[in-house]
Amino acid sequence: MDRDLVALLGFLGMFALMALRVPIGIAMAIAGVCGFAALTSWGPGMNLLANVPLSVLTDYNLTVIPMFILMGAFASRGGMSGELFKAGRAWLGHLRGGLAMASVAACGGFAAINGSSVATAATMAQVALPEMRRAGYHPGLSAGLVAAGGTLGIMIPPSVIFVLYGIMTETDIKKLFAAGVIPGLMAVAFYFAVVQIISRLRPDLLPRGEAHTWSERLSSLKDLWAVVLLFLFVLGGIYGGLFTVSEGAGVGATGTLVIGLVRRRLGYREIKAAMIDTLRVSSAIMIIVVGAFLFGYFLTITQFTQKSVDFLVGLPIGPYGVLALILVGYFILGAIMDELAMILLTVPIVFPAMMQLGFDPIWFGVIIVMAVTFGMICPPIGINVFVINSIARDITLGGIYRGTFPFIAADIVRLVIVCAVPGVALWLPGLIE
Amino acid sequence: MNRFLAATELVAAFFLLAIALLTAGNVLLRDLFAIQIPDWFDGARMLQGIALFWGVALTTYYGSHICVDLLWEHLGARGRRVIDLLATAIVLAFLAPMAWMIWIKVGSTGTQGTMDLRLPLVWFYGVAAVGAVVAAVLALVRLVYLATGRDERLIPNLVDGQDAPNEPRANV
Amino acid sequence: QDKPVELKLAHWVPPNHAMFKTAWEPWSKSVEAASNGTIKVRIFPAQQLGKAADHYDMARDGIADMTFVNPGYQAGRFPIIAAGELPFLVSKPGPASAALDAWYRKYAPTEMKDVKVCLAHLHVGTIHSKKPITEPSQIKGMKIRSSNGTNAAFVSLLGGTNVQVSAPEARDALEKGVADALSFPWESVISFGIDKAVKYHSDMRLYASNFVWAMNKGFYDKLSASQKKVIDDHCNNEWAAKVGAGWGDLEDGGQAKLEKTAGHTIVKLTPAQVDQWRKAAEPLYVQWAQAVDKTGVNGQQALADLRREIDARKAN
Ligand code: NA
Ligand code: NA
Repeated sequence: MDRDLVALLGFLGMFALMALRVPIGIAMAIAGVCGFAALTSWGPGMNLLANVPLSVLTDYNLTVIPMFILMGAFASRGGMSGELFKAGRAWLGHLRGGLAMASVAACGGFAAINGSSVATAATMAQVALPEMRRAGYHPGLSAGLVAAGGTLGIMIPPSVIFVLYGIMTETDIKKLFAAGVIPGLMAVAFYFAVVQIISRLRPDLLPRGEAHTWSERLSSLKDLWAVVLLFLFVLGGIYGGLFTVSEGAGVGATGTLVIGLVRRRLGYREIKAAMIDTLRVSSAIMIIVVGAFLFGYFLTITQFTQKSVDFLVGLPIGPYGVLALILVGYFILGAIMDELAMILLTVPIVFPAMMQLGFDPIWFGVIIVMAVTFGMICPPIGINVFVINSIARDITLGGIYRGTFPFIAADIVRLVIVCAVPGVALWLPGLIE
Repeated sequence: MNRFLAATELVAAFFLLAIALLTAGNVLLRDLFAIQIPDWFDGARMLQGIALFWGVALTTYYGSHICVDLLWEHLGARGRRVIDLLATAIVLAFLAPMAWMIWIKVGSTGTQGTMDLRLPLVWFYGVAAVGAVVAAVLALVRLVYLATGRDERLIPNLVDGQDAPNEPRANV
Repeated sequence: QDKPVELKLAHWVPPNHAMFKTAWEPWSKSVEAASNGTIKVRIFPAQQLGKAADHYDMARDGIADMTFVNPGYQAGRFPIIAAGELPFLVSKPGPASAALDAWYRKYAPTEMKDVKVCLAHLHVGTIHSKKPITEPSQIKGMKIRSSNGTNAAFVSLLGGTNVQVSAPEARDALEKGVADALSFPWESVISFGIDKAVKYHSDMRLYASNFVWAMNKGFYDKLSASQKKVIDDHCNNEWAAKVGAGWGDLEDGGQAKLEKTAGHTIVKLTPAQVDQWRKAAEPLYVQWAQAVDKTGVNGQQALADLRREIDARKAN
């Protein structure tokens, strides 16, 4: 059969299965195996199933994903997220929209000790959201803020998405981590600005909180030693040469466990809960990775990948025109698709095209992560919003989506800046050489 | 049944913690004493493989895979039921041949072993492959429960008193 | 007129790797010309069809029609061909590849019975370090990134620690002190930028890596008689020598380049020091023979046969 036709049918089949609520990973796997079989024969197609799942799930490089999730689970169950929010509230609470700024700051801090956007959003939805609502903050806006703040989890290192991108493109993960720092801090600053603007225009939505005494402020900082220690230890160890990035995730998870044990915040119950959380999240993620590999092998033999790259590079709209086109594509895909699947499917096509057009691989990694974060909070399928909705049942999905809009606007401004001034992302990794 | 699944889940979850401990232990010994834990690398890989095959089995049973709900959300109870049955049947139709093929892979692993201790990989692959079979079986059980209206059995155990933060949807 | 077929060739190194220019491109062109264009070779580089360690199974299973296999990536699965990895067995990659290929043709039908082995070849490398290494006792306490299982076993035997990082990560691991040294072929030290991190290169033939081109049996069986002849003419000892020399000599060319580069030292060894290394490696030969005995092949005999092939070609 004609290769282009089979590729098209493969995509259609995959989306049809997804629409029938077949798990995303399994939909990709079925389309991949059947497509591969259509172009070869049933033997090789089925044989993919013998090799690929076992090979992907026993890949050492991918242990980083469960390990950074485990680290976040221990940090959250061990009370570190609560301490971050308490410190934020003590220092910022008395300002206009103070609790909102405290939540953003806590998201940023928690992002520095875990690698997942959803985990950050979920954790802060439990820690910060109830406090904001008790203080009379607008529910949808507060939830939207936590959804957006959650995206810091993959922008500020460590970050599972940077790791995946680094593995897929053989780009230096340490440099990618470094490249995320300034755009991540910019996001914090921009979200602060959004909070300030809204609280000036509509003080009723984001009221002032109570002031805290200096002794309360200082004592709130005292509790933060564990977070700071953990962050310095993990990133210091990675950049200082004590361990590799892959090892750093496992070391970080163990370090978080040890700190929790020493402070008596983690008992058997909490440890068990953190482990099981991690297993459930990791299994749901890794089946998607398996599916993406199977679908990817199918796309390879259809030559769709190569043709798409050639097509993108050959467009007569200049490198920035292609970039703009790709970004628009990501917004559309991100709105309707799972972000992980989106990355796994598109990077093999988009990355070589961007490299041929002369863009920087590290910088493009930052752009990819920003594109992913849009998808996580944009309707109709925004995973962070879903997670918050599953925790705060009484806030409607629509309400949360409306609450994310001001922050999405800030993200767009930030994306334009990083596109126009690549140095924002590239300055810090440039110092690593 | 549910108690068995909970115990299985705990063991698989502990395997993930074991990866962290193995990695950290090896880094510590390497950096302080220039020695290594034999097979920490292959050991971590195998632990991950086993944990995730069994984890996927449980994810399938509980229906907590990541799915696109766009169509499902707009359907009534009847429509949702049809879609759930259909999707579970498709999942079963995928997992059963996958388990079969993975056993073929186990059979062809031969003398391949771990890097340091040359422990036969067949042992580890075998345990993972049992997980793949369990995944297919649990998909079938889920299908039967859904078809006979015993959905309440498919609700996962809460990890502790409170709702687990990352459920029911999981993602990075 | 033969039916046109496409030969899907899968490998796991980057598309522009030295193997493309020195081996796959000339081989493909020659096959296409000899078959009057009825066999068209399409190359899938960089693990596009599967992970590096899965390439043997990919050829067996027909996921690709021919694959590039490093048998050392699956420790213990192919014990016989592991002879090619024994330290100090060979030094000239071209003739040594021919020797390995000629010798392995006897064992391939049993050890790699699920595929048709097209040819076997090898390259040779050494240890590159931050401090000069002349004696095996220096390895004790060092953290080393090894190239294959046999090499890693040697490091363990000498009391060193094996650090597991991928080739692209190796430079970083060395710069940051996660590793002190690595075993690597010469030119790759430069092309992977590892020369920025290690300055001392021991002038010895410490380790070798084996490679096999494995073909799917069903693919071969379906070819016409004349197409089969074309493949047979390209899956022979001559091509093994050509491919082995092409890549191996290119790698070895890196030594002269490093010698001329400021800041790099080629560490020369005295004959007595080389003897120490050879002695230290002897247990690996014993282990190899024991593993091979278990497969029903006489290890000592097989090793003697291999040495004869090597000597006949002056590959040592
Ligand atoms: Na993070
Ligand atoms: Na989305």
